[in-house]
Amino acid sequence: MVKLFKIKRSRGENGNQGINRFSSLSKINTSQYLFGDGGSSVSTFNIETLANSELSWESTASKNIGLDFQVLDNKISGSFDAYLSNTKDLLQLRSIPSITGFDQVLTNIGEVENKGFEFSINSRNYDNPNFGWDTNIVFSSSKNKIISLGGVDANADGIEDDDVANGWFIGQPIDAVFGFKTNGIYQLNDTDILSGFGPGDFRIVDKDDDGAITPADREILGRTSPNYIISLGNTLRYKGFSFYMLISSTQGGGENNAYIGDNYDTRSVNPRAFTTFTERFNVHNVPYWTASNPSNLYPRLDYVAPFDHPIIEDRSFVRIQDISLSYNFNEKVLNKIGFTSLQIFTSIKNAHTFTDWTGYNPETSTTVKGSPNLSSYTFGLNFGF
Amino acid sequence: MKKYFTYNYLFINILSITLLLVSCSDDLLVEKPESFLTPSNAFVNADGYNAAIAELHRLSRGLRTSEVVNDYAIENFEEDKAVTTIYANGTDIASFAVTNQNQFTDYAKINSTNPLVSAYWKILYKMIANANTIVANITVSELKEEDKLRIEGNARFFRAFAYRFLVYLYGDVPLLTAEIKTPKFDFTRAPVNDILAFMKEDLEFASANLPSENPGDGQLSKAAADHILAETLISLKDYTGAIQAASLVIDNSQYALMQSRFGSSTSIDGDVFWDLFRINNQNGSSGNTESIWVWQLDFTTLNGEPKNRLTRCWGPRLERVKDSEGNRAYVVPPASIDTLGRGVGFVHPTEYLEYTIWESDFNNDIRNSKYNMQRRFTNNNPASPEFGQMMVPRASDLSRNHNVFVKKTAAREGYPQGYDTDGRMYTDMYAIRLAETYLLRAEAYFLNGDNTNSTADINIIRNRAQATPIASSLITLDYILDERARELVSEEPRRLTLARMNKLAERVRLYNPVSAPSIQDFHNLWPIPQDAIDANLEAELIQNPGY
Repeated sequence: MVKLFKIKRSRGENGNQGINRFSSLSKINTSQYLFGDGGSSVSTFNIETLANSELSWESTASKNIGLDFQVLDNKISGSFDAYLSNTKDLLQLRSIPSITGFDQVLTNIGEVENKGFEFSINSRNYDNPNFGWDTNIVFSSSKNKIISLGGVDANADGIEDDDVANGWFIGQPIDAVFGFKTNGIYQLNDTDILSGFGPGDFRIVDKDDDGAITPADREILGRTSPNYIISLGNTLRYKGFSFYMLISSTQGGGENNAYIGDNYDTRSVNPRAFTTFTERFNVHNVPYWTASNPSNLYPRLDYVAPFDHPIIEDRSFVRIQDISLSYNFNEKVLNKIGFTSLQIFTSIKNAHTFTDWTGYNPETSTTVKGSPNLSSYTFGLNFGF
Repeated sequence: MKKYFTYNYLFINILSITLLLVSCSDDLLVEKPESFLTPSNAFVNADGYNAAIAELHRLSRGLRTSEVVNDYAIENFEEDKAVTTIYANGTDIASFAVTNQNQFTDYAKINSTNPLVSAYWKILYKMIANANTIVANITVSELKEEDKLRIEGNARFFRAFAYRFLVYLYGDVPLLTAEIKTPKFDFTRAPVNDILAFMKEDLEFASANLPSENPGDGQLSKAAADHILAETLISLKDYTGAIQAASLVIDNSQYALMQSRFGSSTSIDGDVFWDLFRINNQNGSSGNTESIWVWQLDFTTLNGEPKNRLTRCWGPRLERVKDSEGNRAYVVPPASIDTLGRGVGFVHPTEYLEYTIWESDFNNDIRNSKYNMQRRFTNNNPASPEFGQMMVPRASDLSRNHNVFVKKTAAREGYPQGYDTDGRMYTDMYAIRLAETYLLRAEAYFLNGDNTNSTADINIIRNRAQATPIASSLITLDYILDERARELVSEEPRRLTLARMNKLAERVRLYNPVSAPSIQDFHNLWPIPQDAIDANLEAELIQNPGY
């Protein structure tokens, strides 16, 4: 019945030096300037990065528990793994006040907890000479949260302070998305249009309800990592035919609004911060807002956000990743034509994606400004003689 | 066996103790950069410091030509439009002609997340950080004393120059007086007067240590420091000091207003005011005695072409104008025929700039001559039935297709590359010109209650322009601002001037009908950038009121 049943457990602590040599030194980059007409240029030195003599390794303490198994005459095999790790002194590029002359510095900061769970199962459902069916499932889910950011409590409220500039919040995932939330589009008849906005503009949520949009209205909108990833592969074999299909799915949403992306360049015809009207562009065909098309999703044609805000969409998707079908000719036929092998096959990669994401590829949060995810169709013959 | 074990044990002990006592030398652990530059190997001789000073020149040029803005602003922000918000748009002289967006046309849209507000802040503090590093290193270096003083004088001039933009654009700002060596999160805003006093110290040091002879090739000299010092002292209400500082420049025999035609373009119809803005006419080698400090540009010199795109911004967008049959009324490339370049019309002058300020001397003030303020444009398309006739606005035209062309911003000989859709020019740009020194002294005299001398200074400018002298009873701060518009349009950072004199909101309401409905008094200052407030974790940077 049970051929293999192995329980694994480990714990350990690693250092990660993931930085290049000399990273702790201040770097100078060069450019050119010139003095006088018709001369040559002189080199210029600009202090590019701030030195950080305190820079050191980050360290991760992790615990892992797992199980490998093969049961029912090898018909079902698989593994489960769960882990919990704590990383301290994370090596991070951290935004610092530009008043220093620098935007960011490579530094060690805080503590982050990672936990996750993965399993994979291979099942041989049927295994006859003429017919076979295998199924393979892989699942993974992980979560992280910031435990500490170095213990600064400048406002002396007894609670460690968040780091808004970097989008780091105690107790929240490190990939939290922080910014202004939008809720539809202002319409012509709206009577509650705030100063600086007009019909056809995104309705930025006035979170503190003070009648004006201010930076205090920003909030955590979600995170960019998914709740879980799962893939399902099936192989069917009948005589000389073989059929394979892989479906993969990455899912977000939920109460923490996981797996979101910024789809601004798809939803707003006028690209972000490009302040001139788009007369020169051949743009994506979107049903942008007009008085006669009171869209609640797409802003007016020449919308420029008065506050820099993302347009959040859920990137969850189910994708038919691979389909392939092949036929191997049997020996009878091969002997007649004198080949040692002959296979005819066809395959489709990235056949279709089911998603609410309105840009191109939800997996990479590609908007219409990027390139679509390619689908490929292959047809061929393999023969040997 | 036992004995053997004991010896073995002893041996291991001796070895361990030896290893413990012998450590590698400290030198081995010091990272010695050999393939890249860091302050410890860059600042070892005068060349290194000169290169750091040259970078300050480059960054400061970027406040005018916009080459640097894009490095600090968000993606896609067109940098030449960015610069026009400092020099023209949203002030009394012009508004952004394209769409009514966040280019300081609709002030209700200006907030702390505006990318320009953040970009300028970063560039200016970058200049200050670089200057502070130079000062910190040079004072402990082993260079010759005269080199030390010259380099420190240059660095401190640029530090004051950066604070000048900060203090007038943002008001109270954090005051950094020394090099920052570790990340800091607890900046607070210092009062305007502290900043001005610090600038005064820097400029006095620069004035004492920069060369008194004007090299005329883009390098700094004493007069540049005295000029900015005069402006700073006006803000500190030390009018006598301001008059003295400006007089040091004006009375210096190296400097005089150009009174007759000179330089590269005398074979072409024009006048002396037009000559001041032709290619190669800004540096001392052209015979120009009026320039005090000039930002350098040069065709085909590495990084000598940092996007002087003034024509793009200020030129009317003629290439979209049609004739009565729908043909183009203006064809490119016109380089051989005309002087218009490729305007895109981002800056739309107000009626104030186009007409109001010229009313009293419309036909005699050479700054309003057809060479300097072009008001008529000719159909140059031979295929058009109206070829050779004056273009007329049509219903289909946009405001950006037609405006008075401030020809300071155009350069017939400025296009060595031929027709260029990018609209780059290679004309050097005045950072400081003597005419402004006169106008600063006039302002100081006026504020000091000396109308006679104030009028005399203004009339020196007006005489050169062949305009009627003004009577001293008519001098006001607003008149000085009008004269500055006539003389310095597109050269002076108009927003800075108006903010410095606390006149921005008042004069926008008077002269800029596009921005008048949205501007409020608090808009005289920009907001403190949100990214600066957010990153300053350990202290609060208080936002300017109103934002």
